[in-house]
Amino acid sequence: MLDSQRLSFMRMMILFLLLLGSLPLQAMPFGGPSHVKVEVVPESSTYEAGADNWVAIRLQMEPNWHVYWKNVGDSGLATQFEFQLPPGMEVKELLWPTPELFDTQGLVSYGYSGEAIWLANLTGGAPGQVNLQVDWLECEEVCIPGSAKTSFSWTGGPGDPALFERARAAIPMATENFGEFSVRGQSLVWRPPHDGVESWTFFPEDDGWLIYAEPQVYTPVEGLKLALEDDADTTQPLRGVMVGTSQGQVSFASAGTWQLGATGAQAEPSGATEAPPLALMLLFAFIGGLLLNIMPCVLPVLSIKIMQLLDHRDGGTPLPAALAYTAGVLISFTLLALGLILLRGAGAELGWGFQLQNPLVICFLMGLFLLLGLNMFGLFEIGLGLVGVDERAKGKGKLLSIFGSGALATAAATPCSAPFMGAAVGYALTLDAAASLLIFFFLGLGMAFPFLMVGFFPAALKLLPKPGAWMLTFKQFMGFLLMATVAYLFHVLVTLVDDSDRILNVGLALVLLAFGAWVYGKGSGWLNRVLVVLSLAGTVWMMGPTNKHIPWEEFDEKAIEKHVGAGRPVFIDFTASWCTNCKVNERRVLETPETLALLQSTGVVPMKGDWSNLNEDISRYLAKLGRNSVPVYAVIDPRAPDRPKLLPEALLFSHLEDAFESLSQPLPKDVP
Amino acid sequence: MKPLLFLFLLSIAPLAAAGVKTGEAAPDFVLVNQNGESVKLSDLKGKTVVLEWINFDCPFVKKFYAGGEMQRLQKAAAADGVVWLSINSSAPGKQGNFDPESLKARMAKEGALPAHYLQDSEGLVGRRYAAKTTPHMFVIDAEGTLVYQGAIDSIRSVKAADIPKATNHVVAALEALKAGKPVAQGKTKPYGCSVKYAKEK
Repeated sequence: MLDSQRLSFMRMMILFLLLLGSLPLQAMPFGGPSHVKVEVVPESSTYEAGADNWVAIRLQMEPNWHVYWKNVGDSGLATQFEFQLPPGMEVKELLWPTPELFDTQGLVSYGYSGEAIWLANLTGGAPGQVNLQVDWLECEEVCIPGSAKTSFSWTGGPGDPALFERARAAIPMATENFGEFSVRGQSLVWRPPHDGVESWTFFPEDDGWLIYAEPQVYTPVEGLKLALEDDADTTQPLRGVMVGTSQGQVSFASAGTWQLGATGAQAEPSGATEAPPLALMLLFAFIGGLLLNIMPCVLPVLSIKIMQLLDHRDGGTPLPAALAYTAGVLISFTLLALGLILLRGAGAELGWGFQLQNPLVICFLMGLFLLLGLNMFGLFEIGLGLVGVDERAKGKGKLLSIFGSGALATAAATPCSAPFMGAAVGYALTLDAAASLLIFFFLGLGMAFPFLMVGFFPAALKLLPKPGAWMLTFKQFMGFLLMATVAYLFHVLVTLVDDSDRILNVGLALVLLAFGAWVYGKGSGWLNRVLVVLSLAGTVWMMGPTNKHIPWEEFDEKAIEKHVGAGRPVFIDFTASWCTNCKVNERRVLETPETLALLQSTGVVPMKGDWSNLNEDISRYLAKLGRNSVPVYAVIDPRAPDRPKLLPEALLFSHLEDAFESLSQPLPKDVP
Repeated sequence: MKPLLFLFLLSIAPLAAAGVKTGEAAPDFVLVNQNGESVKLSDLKGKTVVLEWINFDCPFVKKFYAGGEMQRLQKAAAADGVVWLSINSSAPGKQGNFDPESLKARMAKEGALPAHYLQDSEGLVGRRYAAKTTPHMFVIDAEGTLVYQGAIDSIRSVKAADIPKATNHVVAALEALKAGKPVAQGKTKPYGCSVKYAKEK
C-alpha cells in the first residue's frame, strides 16, 4: 500500500536527518502528489517542562489548493493532528488560525489557502522527541487526501521569531459574547460591538447551525445576517470565529462562544422564546407611534400640522383635518408594511427603514427636508400645497394636502426611528402578514393619536398659545431641526456610498436646489421659471449615482504578489486627482458597468494606484515600468508577473477587453 | 447598491429554495442512465429507492469502492428489491463526468452495481436535492417520501479501515423500512468532496 511505502520512506528520512544531527526536522518533501508542505518548528531552543512550550505547525498550500478548518462547511475533511509525546508531556492547547471562506458553485467550505500556522502548546514531562502526524484533505477543484509524519525535538537550534509572529497574528482573539447574536425567525442576526469594520463573516465551529451556502449579508444598519438551519438548537451556546475584513484584508478575528438572545426586548434568561401576546405588542406599537411625534425628524413636520389646526380656531371644526391627517398616516404606514411584506416574500432581507438603504431615496428625502426647512425660514412660499401651508388652498384641496402631510410625517418618521425600532419592528415582521400589518397600523394610530384627539376635543386647542408673531419665530426654529435631519441623512448616505465624489455631488445638488427655491421665492417671471426648472433638473442629475461600482483595491506591491501567487491577474489604474486624462478615462471607460462585468467575468483584480500626493511606492513602481507620469494602465499576468503589459493612455474599452481576455489564452512565445 | 443586492437575492432564491426535508415527498426527476435510457423516479413508486451522489475519482467515494463496500451494499439492496441510483452531478469537463463509453468502462473497472448510473451534468437534480458531497445518500420509501438524507456512515474520514467501525446510516434506514419501522435518524451531515457543479446561470 502507498501508506506503508510512505511510512517507510518517512522512517528513512527521519533516520537520515537524525544522522545528520539536523535542526528542526522537516516533513514530506514538496512536490510529488501532494500540494501541501508541512513544517514543524519549536519556538524556543530548549524545553521547559514547567512552562508553555509553543510549537508552530505550518502548512503551505500551492496556489489554488486549500485544506480545511475544524468545521469544514458543506464539504471536505477537517485537518487532523496526532501527537506522539514523550511520557508526561501533554498538548495543553492547539490553536487554529483564522479560517477563510471558499465558495464553489454554491457550496461553501471553510479552510486555509496559502499559508496556515497552527500553534500547539506542549507542557509537562521531559524533553524528548515528539512525533506528529498531520492528516488533511487538499482540494483545488478536485480533492486528494494528504498525510505527513514529522518529528522534532528541542535541539538547541535557532528559533524563527518571524514565523511565530505571523502565527500569532493569524490566531483569533479569545472572546466571550463579542457583539450580540440574536435569533430572528429563520435568521441569526449579529451586531458588532463597534464600527470601523467594513464587513463581517462568521465561521460556526459546530455543524447544524447555519445553512453554509446562504450568503452572509452584512450592512451597518442591519448587522450580519446568517441563515439558520431548520433544526438548529438555539438554546445551546454558539461557538465560532467572527472575522472582520476591511479592504479585503482580515482586520480582526475573535473566537468565542455566544449565548443567543431572543430579539429586542423579548430576551428572556430562561431561554423561552415565546412571543409576547399580540395585544401587548400592539400596545407597544401604539406607544412607539406616540413617541415618534417628538422625534427630531417628525417634530418640524408636526409643527406644520399644529399651524394648520390653529387655522380652525376661528370657527369651523378641526375634525375633518384631523381625520384626513390620521388617514394619511395610517394608509402610508399600511402601504409601507405591505411593501415590506411583499418584498420579504420575494426573498429580500429587509427591515424597518429599508428604504434608507437606497441612496436615491435618501437623496430625495434630503431634498425634501431641505425645501421644507427653507420654506420655514421663509425663503419662499409654496404655491400649491406641497405640505398644505398655503392659505389659498381651501376645502377639499386643503384636506387632500393635510392627508399628504400625514404621509409626509410617516416618511419623515422612518429615518429617525430606524435605529431605535429596528429590532422590534424586525421581530414584528417575522410574524404572519396579518399580525405585522396590525402592528404597523397601531404604530400609525399612535402617531396620529394626538391630532385625532384635538379633532374630537377642539377645546384642547385653546391650550395652545394664540397665533401671532411667535409663530414665525417657532417656524424658523423648526427649520433648523429640518437642517439637522438633512445632516443626519448625510451621515446615513456616507455609510451607504463609499465615494467622496458622489457625496460632494449630492452636497452641491442640495445647494443648487436651495438656489432654485430662492429664485422661485423671488418672483415668477419667465427667467425665474427657467432658472427654477434648470436647477431642479440639475439637482436630479447631480444626485444620480456616479457609476462607481468597481471594487478597487488600493495599490500595494505585497497585495499584487499575493494575487499573482494565487494565480489571479491584476489590473492597475495609476491615476491622480489632478490628472484630467485619468478622470476622462475613468468616466468613459473604467467606471462603467461593462468594465465591471468584464473584470468579473475574467477574474481580474482591479487595483488603483492614487498618485495624487506623489506616493513614493507608486513612483518607484512607475519607474520600474519606465514611466514617470500618469495615467498608466498595467495588466499583470500571473504566468509572467515580471512583464506587466501596459495599455494605451487613450484608453478604450476594447483595449481592456483584448488584454483581459488574452489572459486565458496561451502565452505568446518568447523570442529566444 | 440595494437594487443590486435585491437582484442578487432573487437570483439565489431558487438555490435557497432547494433541498428537501426528510418526511416530505422526494421531488421527481428524469435522467438518462449509462445505457442511454431514461429513468424516472416516479416510475419507481412502490419500491424503496436509494440515491447515491457519486464521483469515482473522489477519495471519499474511493474509500467505499476500492474495498468493495459500496458494491456489497448495492448487491444487498438489489436482493431486497431496493432500487439503487448512483447520480453524478459533475459538470462536463469536471472530475467525475464521463462520456457514455468511458463511463461503462469505468463502471466495469470499479465493479459498480447500481440499478442505474445517472448523469446530471447540469446539476439540476443535485441542486434540487441539495446534494453537497460525494457520497451524499438519500433513501426514499415506497410511497415516495424521503426518509433519510446525509452521510453514508458515522465516521468522517477517507480511510477504508474506518468502515467496519462506523455505523452505516443507509443500512440502518433500509433495515428500518424493511421492518416497517420509522427511520430513527432522518438526517445527518454528509461528508465528502464537494459536488463538482456547473457554474450557476
